[in-house]
Amino acid sequence: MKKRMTRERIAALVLTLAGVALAAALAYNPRMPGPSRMVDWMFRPAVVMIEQLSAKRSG
Amino acid sequence: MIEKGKISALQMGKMIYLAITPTAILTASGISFNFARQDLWLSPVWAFSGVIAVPVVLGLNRMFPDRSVVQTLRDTVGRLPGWVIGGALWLYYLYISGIVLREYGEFVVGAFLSDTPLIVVLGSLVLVCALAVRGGVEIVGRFADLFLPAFLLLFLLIVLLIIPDLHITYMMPILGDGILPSMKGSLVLQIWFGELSIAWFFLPHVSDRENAKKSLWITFGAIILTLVLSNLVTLLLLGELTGGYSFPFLILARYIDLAEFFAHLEALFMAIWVLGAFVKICVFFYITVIGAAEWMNLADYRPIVFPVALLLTLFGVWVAANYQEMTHTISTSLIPLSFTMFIVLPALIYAIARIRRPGSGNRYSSGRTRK
Amino acid sequence: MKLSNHLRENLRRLRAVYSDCADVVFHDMVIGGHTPAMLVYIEGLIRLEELDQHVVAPLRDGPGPNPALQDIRNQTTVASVQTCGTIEETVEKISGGNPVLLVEGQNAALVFGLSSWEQRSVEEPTAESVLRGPREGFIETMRTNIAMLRRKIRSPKLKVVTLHIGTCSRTPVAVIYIEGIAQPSLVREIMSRLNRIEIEDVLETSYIEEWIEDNRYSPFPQLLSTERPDVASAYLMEGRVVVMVDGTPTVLIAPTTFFSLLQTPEDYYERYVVGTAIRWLRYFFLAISLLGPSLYVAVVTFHQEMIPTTLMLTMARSREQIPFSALMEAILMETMFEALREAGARLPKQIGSAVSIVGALVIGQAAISAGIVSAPMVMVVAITGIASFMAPRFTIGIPIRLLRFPIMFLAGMMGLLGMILGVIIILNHMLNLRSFGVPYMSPLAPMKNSGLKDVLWRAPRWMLNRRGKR
Repeated sequence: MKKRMTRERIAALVLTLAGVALAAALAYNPRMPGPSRMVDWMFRPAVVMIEQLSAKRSG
Repeated sequence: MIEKGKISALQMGKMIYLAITPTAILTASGISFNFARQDLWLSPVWAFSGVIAVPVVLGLNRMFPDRSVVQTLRDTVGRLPGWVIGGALWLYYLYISGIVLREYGEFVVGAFLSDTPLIVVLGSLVLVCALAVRGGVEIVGRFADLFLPAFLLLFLLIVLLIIPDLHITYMMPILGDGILPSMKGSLVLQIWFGELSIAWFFLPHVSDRENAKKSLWITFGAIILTLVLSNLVTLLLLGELTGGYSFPFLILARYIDLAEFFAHLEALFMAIWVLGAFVKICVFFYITVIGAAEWMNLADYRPIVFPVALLLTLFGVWVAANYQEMTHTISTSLIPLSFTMFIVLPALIYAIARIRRPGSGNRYSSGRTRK
Repeated sequence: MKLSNHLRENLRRLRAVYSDCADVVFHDMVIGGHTPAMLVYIEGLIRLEELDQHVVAPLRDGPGPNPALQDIRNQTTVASVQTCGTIEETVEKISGGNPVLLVEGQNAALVFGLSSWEQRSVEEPTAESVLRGPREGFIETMRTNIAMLRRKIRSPKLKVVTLHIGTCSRTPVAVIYIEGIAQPSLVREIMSRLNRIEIEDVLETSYIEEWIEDNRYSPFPQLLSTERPDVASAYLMEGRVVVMVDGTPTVLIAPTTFFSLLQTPEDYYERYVVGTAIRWLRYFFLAISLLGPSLYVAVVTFHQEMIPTTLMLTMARSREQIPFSALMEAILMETMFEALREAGARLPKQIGSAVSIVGALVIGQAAISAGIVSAPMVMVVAITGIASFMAPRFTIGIPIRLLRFPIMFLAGMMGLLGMILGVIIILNHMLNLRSFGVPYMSPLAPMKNSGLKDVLWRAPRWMLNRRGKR
């Protein structure tokens, strides 16, 4: 493995920085909305439908 | 392709079995129960996602036998759309890995190490997984070789030892409300069955490709069998209470009391279960790393393993604020999302590939030469 | 530098090389009354009477004036005679214990194979004794060892290739394999690795072991070492290669897997049911030797509910007065036990074992009375100690014993989970290890069904008769 700044090292660096940034953000705001919220929003019609299904059953 | 290692079709089967079953037997029965009630044990039979995923993935590999997933994407839809979809794909796997990791963490912290901070539990496992993933697909395959027997033994042992305490009446009336409840219960299980499409990432590395089809279908069958058994046993022990527990299978382990000596063995159950969860997280972690590395056109994935490990640990914390929120996500929005990414996406790619090249030959004659 | 025709010239050079070597004898003689000659040898390394009888005496009445080297050679009655033409060769032969005859007018010297020296008699190796089976063990002389192998495998397919390793010591090293069974690529690989060694002296096979193994930093050995010819022959028949070093009875066998290191010849000399049972016992106890104290620490610290109630009350009572946590106790006692064991190994055979056992008991008891450790802890340490004796060889027992400590730490931090993580980390290392291309953990992972019948259990002999297990 070459010791110079190869593509892989840059990628590793970028990912590490992303990780550190995420860690810092989470440290400041532990209740920061997570990707699950985005997924919930993306598929909201499906979520509503499924919730209706379960409401009918768990009576 | 970045990964040069080779696994056998049998190893792939074992890897995929351990990549799906551990969390399924742990958490799925609780969620399914709210829909299926006493027909819980029938739900795993409606494994539609698996029935679609396996042939699609096999077909994709037949058309692109030695191309990685990202390469296949580029070959089929072009460089820019391939780049977009490839990115979405590995980020999706990062998200899923985070969820799986969180499931593991909640289990360990909730039931056993309640004083240990979640991030320590998550981080320690991710670190160990990172070491294994660095070894490549061969190492993960060997871990599956080693741990599958132990995992199966544990599962069967628990099932066997709990038989005296089961109430057969809890499954009555069988199909009391028709087949609809069990099918509704299988809705959440489609996430797990959809995970069979991870074979897409492993098929190019199988050395005895002619056995791959048999191996995948056998794995599929084994998973259904395991889940039916697990749901059945949980239902027959807990009855109406099944839906109330986060980890119903744990209650089974707790219940075992053999001559008052072998009691409270749930810690042992956790230890062996962790072997299965370890392989599962390794598999998803590996796919995330390989997906990211191929997407970024790297020559080797090893340098990004530890950074992705950091991201994964953080994702494990970030995906949900608490266990209830995560269960809600799994039982609602994750179902369509995973259906899209595990089933619809590969199926679409396969369809496009077939249209562009009618008749599945083994040569992709488009003049494009890629390494 | 070639030998010259003039005796005086050769002698001058030889005396220069062997200056201050008082044990090198320059015995001058006259062949057949006419030709001056000189016998050079190292006393203590040759058979003096035979030299007198078969070389000196015949040559005194020797061939006539201006004899050819062949005539001189025929005059002697030694079976093994070679010639050498350079100073370096001559020195090598003399150093090897062969008397050399330099003759005036000849530019080659005669080398007689009359070496002999003090050597140990063949006895049973102490570390690898069996109840049933041969009790021969290799000795320090390579020639005898090779002969022992020849007696076991009487086939010309048994090939012996020698080389000399060590810039200063020039130690003979033999690479032995069976042609047709061993993979040629394996033999080539071993030869190339041996040729790459740059070392001054080779006193033991472990010197070269470190040079030729795949990963010298791993605690696990990737070459099997043995002192038994029957073990070496068995592995030769499986297609493995034996590396022998002159001067030590230990030979190396390559490649090896983790499971080969856990086998003893007795597994194969006993009936298969017995062999299988003992094998399982061994595996179980080796697991205990690795995980015993960690299990105790994990259960006592984190998972007390697993202990049956009656036992738990007794344990709680004995642990009540102990100032240390379970982890500290365990580390203390285990370290103490290891120290006792090492110390006992150096004592003379008769008192060594007695002292270690008595020492352990006494110290354990005293520690309990002093309230430093609890009785269950001493029990655990004793059981673990006995379990570690189940390792068939020291080289595989010691990594398992040592790795016990990191796992103990992990168990003390995260209970059973920590223990599992520790085991996974170790397995990860072992799964990545290769011995000359063979994965260390085969035939378990990657799973090779043909190999399993000799690892999981010991199949009856008619099932084991297929070769090429690697």
